[in-house]
Amino acid sequence: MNDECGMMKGGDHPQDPVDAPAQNRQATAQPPAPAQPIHHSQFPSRREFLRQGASLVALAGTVPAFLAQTVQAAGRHSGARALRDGEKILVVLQLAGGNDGLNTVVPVTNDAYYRARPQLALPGRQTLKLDGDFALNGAAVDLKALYDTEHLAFVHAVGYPNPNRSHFKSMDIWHTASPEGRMHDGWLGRYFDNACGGEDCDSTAGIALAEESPLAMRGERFLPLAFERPESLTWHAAARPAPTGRAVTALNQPRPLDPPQPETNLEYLRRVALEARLSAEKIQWATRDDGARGGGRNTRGGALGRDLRTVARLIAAGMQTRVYYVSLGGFDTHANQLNRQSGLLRDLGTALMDFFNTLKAQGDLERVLVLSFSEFGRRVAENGSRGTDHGSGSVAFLAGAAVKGGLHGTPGDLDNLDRGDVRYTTDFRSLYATVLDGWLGVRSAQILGGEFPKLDVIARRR
Amino acid sequence: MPWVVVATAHAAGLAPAADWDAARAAHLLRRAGFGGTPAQVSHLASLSLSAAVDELIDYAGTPQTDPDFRCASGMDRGALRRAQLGRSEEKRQEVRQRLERFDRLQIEELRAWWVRRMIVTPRPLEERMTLFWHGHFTSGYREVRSASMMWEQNELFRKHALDDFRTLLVAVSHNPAMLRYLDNASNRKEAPNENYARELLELFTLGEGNYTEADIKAAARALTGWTLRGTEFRNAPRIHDDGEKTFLGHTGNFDGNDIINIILEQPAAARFLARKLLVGFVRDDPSDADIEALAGVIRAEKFNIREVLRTLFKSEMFYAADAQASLVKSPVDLVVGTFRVLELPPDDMYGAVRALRGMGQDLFQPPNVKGWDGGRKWISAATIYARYNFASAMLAGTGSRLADNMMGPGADPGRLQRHRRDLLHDLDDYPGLEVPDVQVEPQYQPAFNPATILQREHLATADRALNHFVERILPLRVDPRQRNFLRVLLVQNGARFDPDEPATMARVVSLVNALLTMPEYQVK
Repeated sequence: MNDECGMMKGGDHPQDPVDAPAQNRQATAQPPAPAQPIHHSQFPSRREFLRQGASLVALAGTVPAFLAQTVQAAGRHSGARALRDGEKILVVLQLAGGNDGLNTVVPVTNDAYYRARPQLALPGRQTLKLDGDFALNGAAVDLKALYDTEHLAFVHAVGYPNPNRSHFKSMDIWHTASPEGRMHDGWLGRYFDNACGGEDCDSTAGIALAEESPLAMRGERFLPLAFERPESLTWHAAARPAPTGRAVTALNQPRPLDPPQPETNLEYLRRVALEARLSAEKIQWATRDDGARGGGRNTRGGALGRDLRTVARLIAAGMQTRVYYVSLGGFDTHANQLNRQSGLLRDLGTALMDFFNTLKAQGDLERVLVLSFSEFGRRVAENGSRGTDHGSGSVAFLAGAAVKGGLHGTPGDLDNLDRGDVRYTTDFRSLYATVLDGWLGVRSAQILGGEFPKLDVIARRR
Repeated sequence: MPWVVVATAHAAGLAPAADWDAARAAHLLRRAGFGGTPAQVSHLASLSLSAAVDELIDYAGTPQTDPDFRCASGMDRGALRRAQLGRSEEKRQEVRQRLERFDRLQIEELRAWWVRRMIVTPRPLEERMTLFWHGHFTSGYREVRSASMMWEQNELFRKHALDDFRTLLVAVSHNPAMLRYLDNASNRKEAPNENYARELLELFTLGEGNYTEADIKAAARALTGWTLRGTEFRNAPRIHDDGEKTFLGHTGNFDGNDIINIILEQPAAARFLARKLLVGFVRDDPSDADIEALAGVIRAEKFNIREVLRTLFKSEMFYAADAQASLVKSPVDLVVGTFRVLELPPDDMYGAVRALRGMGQDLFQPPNVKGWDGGRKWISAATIYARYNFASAMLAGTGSRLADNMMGPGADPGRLQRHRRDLLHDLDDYPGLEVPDVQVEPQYQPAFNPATILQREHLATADRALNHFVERILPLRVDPRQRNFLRVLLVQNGARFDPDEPATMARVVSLVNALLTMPEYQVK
């Protein structure tokens, strides 16, 4: 751990997570350290992954096959060494429904805000001060604590030209990074297509904790692994007696280790089935006694807390996953916004704080960057149901040891609205460009179809 | 040089196939339809090859027994705007949102209806081609935002399923969902929009490399005026650019019909369609000779799809050993085919729709304008689990805990109707709004019970049962090693095979489960 990193030092935080010790214990319960670290290039290809896996199937007894691969090694690093690109992880956190940016990062000195929202505007005393003009929604105590570590950066009024106010349409725009609808695959999918070169990437390079893989991660060739819970990656037999499982394994076994070219579709299916089984085994093992599993009693941070605990476990287990995708829904606050948004922001803060504490405990803090966005913000004026309707530009944030905390970008001008909505001041593709170039180490112009100005929000590589 | 064409056709195997047996009949039914039961297979096998193909193709004489879908009407935006006059902005927005929600329920019901139609139809090729054209002439609900427009397009594909390609092209170019999806509705003389013109050339008819950017611009100008009035097609001369255009070497004051005629005269048009049909029905990697041979038939038949498919389904090429069991089943093949091959009642159609989505085939929402890529793109680590667990869930029944995660909450009869009523509660006074009752009720899928099949087929021993289910379910024979693994499921620990015992029944379900989760079941 780099000592310069002041993020979440023990005891700094007023509310240390109550379950941190338990998480630490689990996080350290790892398989024996490997003899020597494997140096891996950017990604394992499908073929390489299976060659390792297939040769191990024969040995598979009580130890999960993948353990012998000691991929663990790749994830460990000493504080002295700079991070390799291959060790950096991006966690995308989608706030679905349209988060109200103005009641997240509140313009407490702006009269126009108070005029537009007689019922919903948050008075200064119900907020947590960020700087002279802005304060955080008072419910987001943990977000404030993160902010105080100087590794949480808010970006004001992020959006795109000709805002679309449909959830679906606007979400598609964010996912494809294409307001004109010219590109049809996801921006992270294109990143994977690009980074994997000619060969198919192993799907575990990108994991979405979702029922369906998000468009953002689907490329021309790349498809991420998507699952709601680790246990959904289990093969379920329809009936007892159970030996069906063994039969299924046997009947799905690839034949020769190096199948002849061109590979038939049948041989291809066997290969992917094996890959699926090995990935699943690894994921199940990584989360084996996890609060994230079905029966877990740990409800801190709600569903997002659970998903981020799963992500932390997967990172600890040495998965070679570069991008994780998680989502928190419920931000579509047309009515009774104050209570609903407060609850969500409270959970969001707690889940993130716990996540970073866990990462710190397991030595992965510096490897992770969190990017959070919502498909749009909300109308500046409140509606008649103590809520707000669909708007445009909203606040986005980045968090992580490498992030330069603070308030970035230009606040939206509340006296110069676009049909009642905040005009965006930072194009969302600038956010993507910043992450692609500054964190994932690729040329963003190729992926976004053009150059976008980068934000000065990620610390230079040490 | 007619002799060259003949020689090529022979080399590529478009000559009529000679052999005909149950295996070939099953192959035909899997490819031209969605597979079927042993009874359906042996019926086809009892005919000649030629008569079997004719029966599938000349379905017009077979009445459709499944009722058509009925969409709510009067929900288009113009009508609503008029009805909303005088209401407050807030109220209008609230109503709009409720109607959007209602429309999303409706598209989901349409999906469920279509899956059921594909399972129960006595005219499988009609649905097969409807699906084929849906993937070819893509439109997506998210962009079109109207269940009734998507339904109208679906009916269009069904109506023209086997028509000539030119008729279909004109109909698609006038189709409201397409006009909206690819923006030809806003393609005007003063402000041409090239979106439809580009995809018409690139994805629908010629393929990249067979036209220039200038041709796209010319086609876009010619297509101006084919637009929407409300939700209906309208030919609007006022916004049509009737000036002179040069398109693919021809010059004239072209309109959309001229553009389509010129396109179909291009040698590339028949080749493009031939390739698409071969990849859809025969093999992933058709040779140039295969493509050229089928393109020759397409030209000779003047793009009449019915006759082109008749030739193809009777050809040597279609039944070649290395073509059989060579295509990856799409999720629809898998889901619809499983219902058909196991004679499952089409009950939990919403679960089936969700399962399709989980496997990457959301009906009425292809991933983009290219449609579904198909082939190996269907298969990934995640979709393999979705496929295998769908099989188990079907067998266990979707009221079971097992199916809960995958298929969602299945049944609550009446819930959908209640939900719809809530959304429309105070809209009775809307003129022209007509809402039919729920047509596909949410229901649980009962657990698969093999007893009927065991009795009907007299499967009194483990080996007879094994042979029957292997032949019924898989498109390939199994080798001795596989057979052994499968057989163990029926006779493990020296268990007696007694069709009257529940334990035997459970072992048969285990066997079927294993068969459905073999890589061999994922191909057709």
